[in-house]
Amino acid sequence: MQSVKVANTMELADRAVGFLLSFISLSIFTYYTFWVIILPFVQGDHFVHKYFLPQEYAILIPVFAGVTLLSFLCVFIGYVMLRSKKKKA
Amino acid sequence: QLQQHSLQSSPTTGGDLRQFRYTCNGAHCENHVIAGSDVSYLCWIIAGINFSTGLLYLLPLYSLVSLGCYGLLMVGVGLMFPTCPQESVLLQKDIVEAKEFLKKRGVDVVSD
Repeated sequence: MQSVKVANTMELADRAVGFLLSFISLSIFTYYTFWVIILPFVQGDHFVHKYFLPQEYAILIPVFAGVTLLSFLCVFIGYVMLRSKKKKA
Repeated sequence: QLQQHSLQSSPTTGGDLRQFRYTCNGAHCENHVIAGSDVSYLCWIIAGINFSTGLLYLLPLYSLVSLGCYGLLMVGVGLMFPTCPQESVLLQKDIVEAKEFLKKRGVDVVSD
């Protein structure tokens, strides 16, 4: 009985994380689509332009995120390797 | 303002790239060159939209970002509607086993 309760709370946490992930991904996708594809065809003095950053950031932000991800991966691998070497010595 | 346009294929830039020139109606003569593929030429003819090439150069980055978003979406949807509950228990057991195995071999994996 106890294990079933634990499984249910774990499932709820999983569902919450899943919902959060899908919400984040959908919002990022729609914002980025609007930014890159629809906004260049809108006139310069339309009011939606103030809800979006300037167009250079549409390139800078994904590149910056990719570089951060790659460096985090490298740092993690190096950290694990250093710790295992220190333990052996 | 578009008086005439002539289709010229330039042999140096490859088979797909065509250069379009159109002249203005005003007193001065301007030569504008729009470079693009066949699709942009069609869109230019059909919709009259001035297809800026800056949009074309953003498409690879856009497809990368949308691929990442699609992966995240699939993971989120898979977490929201679980299909194999037994497999998740087995997966947890596999994770514990893998951690033990790695610890024996000397690699210390960070555990939460």
